[in-house]
Amino acid sequence: MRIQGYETSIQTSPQVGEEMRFWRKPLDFDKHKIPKGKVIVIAERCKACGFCYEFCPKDMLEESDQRNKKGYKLPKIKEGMEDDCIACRHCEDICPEFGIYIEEIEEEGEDEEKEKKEKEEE
Amino acid sequence: MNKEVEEEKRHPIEDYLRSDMLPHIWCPGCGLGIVLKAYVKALEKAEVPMDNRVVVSGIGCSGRAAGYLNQDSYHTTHGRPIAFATGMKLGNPDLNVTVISGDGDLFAIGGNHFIHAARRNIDMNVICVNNFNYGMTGGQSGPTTPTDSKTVTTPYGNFEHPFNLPHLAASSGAVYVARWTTLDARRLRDSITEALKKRGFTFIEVVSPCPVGYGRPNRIGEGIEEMRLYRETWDLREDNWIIKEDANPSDAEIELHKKILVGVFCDIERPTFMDMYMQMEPIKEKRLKHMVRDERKVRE
Repeated sequence: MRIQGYETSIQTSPQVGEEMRFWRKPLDFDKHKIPKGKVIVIAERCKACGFCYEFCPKDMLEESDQRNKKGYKLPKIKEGMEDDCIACRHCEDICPEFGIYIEEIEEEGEDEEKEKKEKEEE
Repeated sequence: MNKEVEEEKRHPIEDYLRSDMLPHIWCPGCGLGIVLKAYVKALEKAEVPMDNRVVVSGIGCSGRAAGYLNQDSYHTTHGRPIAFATGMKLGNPDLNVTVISGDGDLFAIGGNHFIHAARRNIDMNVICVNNFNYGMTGGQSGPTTPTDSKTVTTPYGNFEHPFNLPHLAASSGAVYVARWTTLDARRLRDSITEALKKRGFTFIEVVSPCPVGYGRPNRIGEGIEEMRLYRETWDLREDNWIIKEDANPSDAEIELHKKILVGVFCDIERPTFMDMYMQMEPIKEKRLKHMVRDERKVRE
C-alpha cells in the first residue's frame, strides 16, 4: 500500500552516497543549510549506557578510554568526524541521564546572506 | 579551571530539574530519564504555565520522577496517584495534572483507580512507564510480565497472561491512548504534547528497558540490547502511523522477544467528569444564584 514516489525517495536518501542526492533539485535548495552542532557531554552524569553512540544517526560517537569519577567510560567523537554533527538532538533526547546536549553553531555571515537573497528576490 | 568548565555546561532543561539531586539513582540503561525529559520538553512545547504544572507519582523506581522535577510534584502512597490526582483536579480544575508512574503501581495495586478514572473521564494525563516487572523491589513478576518470561518469582517462566494496557485503557473509556518505546523519544514527546492539550483522561504507555530486573533473567542483557529490540519494530510502525486512528488496541499484546505494536490507538472526544457535573440541573440553578449574588455585590 505504498505510494510509488515514496519508495523512490527512500532509495535516493542521503545514506547512499557521501553527498546529499535528490531525485530532483528542490526549488528552495539554496535557502536551506544543514545545521551544524557541537556535542557537549556532562562527564559526572554519564553512566555509560551506550545509547548515544549506538543510536547516533551520523554514527559519529564512540566509547572512549576516558573515565569519569565513578569509573564509567565516556563517549567521544570519532576521529575525523568533528564537524559531522547535524544538530538533530537525538542523543540529547535519548540520554536518560541528562548528560549530553547539542549546541547549535550559527555560522558567521549567514544572516547577512539570507537578507541579501531576500532583497534580491523582492 | 575545572570549575569554570563545569559552570559552562548547562543542559537545556536544567531549569526544570532539581540539579542538586543529579545524577539520579536509576540504573545505567533505564528508560525513566528519557520519559522525564520527554515530559518536560512536552510541557514547554504545549506552553503550560509554570503555576499549573503538577506531577503526581506513586511508589517504585518511577516514583522518583516527582523528586527530580523542579515544580509542584507529589510522591503519594502505593497505587494511589490517580486517586490523589483526582482530588487535586476537582479541587482546582485549572491545574494540568499528570501522573507518571509504573505498571506495578498503576495496574496491580492501583488498577481500580485507573479504570474508574478512565470511566469518569477525569481531565488528567497518565504516563505509565512499563518495564514488565517490579524493578525497585528486585524484579518480581507483575501484572504486565509477558507469558514465558523469567523473573525472580517465576524462575521457570511466567505462566500468567499479562494485561494489554492500551486495550484496557481504551475499553475503560480513555479519550487518548498511545504506546511508545523509549527509543521514540521524539514521537513520545509529541504524543505527550497532544495529550497535555487534550481534555479528558489520556493514557500513554512507554515501554522502557529494565536491564537489571527484566533484561538479565530473560537474556536480553543491558539496556542497550533492549533498545535494539525496539529498533526492530520499525517496519510494523510505518503502517501504524498511516492508519493512525484505526490501529486496533486488541492487537497490542506484548509477547516475549517479539515485535511491539506502537502508535496512537484511540483519539476521541467525550464530555469530561466536570462537564457532566456542571450540566446537572440543581448545579446549574445554584450557579445562577451565585452569579446573581455576585452581581448584586458588585452593584452595592
